[in-house]
Amino acid sequence: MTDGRLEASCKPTGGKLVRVSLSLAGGRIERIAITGDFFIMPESGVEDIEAALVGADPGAVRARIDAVVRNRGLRLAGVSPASIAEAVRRALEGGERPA
Amino acid sequence: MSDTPWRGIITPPAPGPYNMGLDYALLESVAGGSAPVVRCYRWAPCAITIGYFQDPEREVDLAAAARDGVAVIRRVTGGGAVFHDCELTYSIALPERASPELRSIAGSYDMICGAVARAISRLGIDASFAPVNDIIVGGRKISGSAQTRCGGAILQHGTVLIDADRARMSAYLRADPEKSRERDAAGPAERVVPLRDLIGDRALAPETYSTLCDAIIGSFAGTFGRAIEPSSPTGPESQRAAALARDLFGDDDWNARRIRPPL
Repeated sequence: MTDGRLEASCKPTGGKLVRVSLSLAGGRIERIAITGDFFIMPESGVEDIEAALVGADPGAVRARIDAVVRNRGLRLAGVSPASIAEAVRRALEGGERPA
Repeated sequence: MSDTPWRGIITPPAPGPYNMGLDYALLESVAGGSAPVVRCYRWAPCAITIGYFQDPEREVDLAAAARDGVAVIRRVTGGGAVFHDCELTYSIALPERASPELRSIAGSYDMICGAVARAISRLGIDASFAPVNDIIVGGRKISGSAQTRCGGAILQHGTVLIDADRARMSAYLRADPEKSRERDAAGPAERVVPLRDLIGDRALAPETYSTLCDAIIGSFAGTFGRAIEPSSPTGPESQRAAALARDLFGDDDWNARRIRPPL
């Protein structure tokens, strides 16, 4: 795992595309942007998920997403905590280098 | 409000920021207690919209759009990028409590897209809802929809593709490698089927557009068991739409970076 900007995406069959762009500092997520053609309501929930993942170590990603979805009562369609976590995992494993 | 008729609005072709502004103004009206609204409209000039969560640089060839003077507008609704050209766009704003099926996102897409699919089918086409948010004919997409919610009300809007300029679609909308893998390497332009491919040049006739508007409004009336009467945007709705067109949907920070200005 190297520091720098990393990107990856995840598109489950029948689901929507989730793309994650992140940077690491000292092995933890320093900045993260989650984009794609999915639905999260209220929409500000995506910023809450991003904020919850800042400072997270890779093992805590799924639990942090689950907590935001539960605590804010977010409604999701075409996307799930699992597909967001999978996109983050792929990015952390090296992902695609940004163009 | 239970006996108040719903409003049916057919607005003239308008620029993208105004179209998105009026849809949002209608959502605000309904969230504030006004009667539900169904609207049909067109785009002049053509425009590109991207979903709330999308990165425009990734979805759109911004240089090509800028070269041709095509605006790129971020919607308040999720979903994907769309080149709005020769199409009918519908929108519906209604309270979540209008039907139990509307509580879940999946149930509301099923109910609302189902109504639109039945309207399209009245032109002699077998159109059906395809989750998450599409309507398909023969496996290809004729309509895509997106929604948001605010104050207990839902706004859903979507396209019905009348004709497709596939060269321009391909020039503006970037194919995503992950999506293309799943769908036999087809790009956005190959995955769609406009009405013209199904019923010929009759699709382009003004009467067909009027028929489809009426069918969509009638289909929503039947689906929700409510009368829908012809209406127009109110003065405050038109003013709010113009303000949103200028301050939100015409704002570079919003469109490029999802930074919402104070409204």
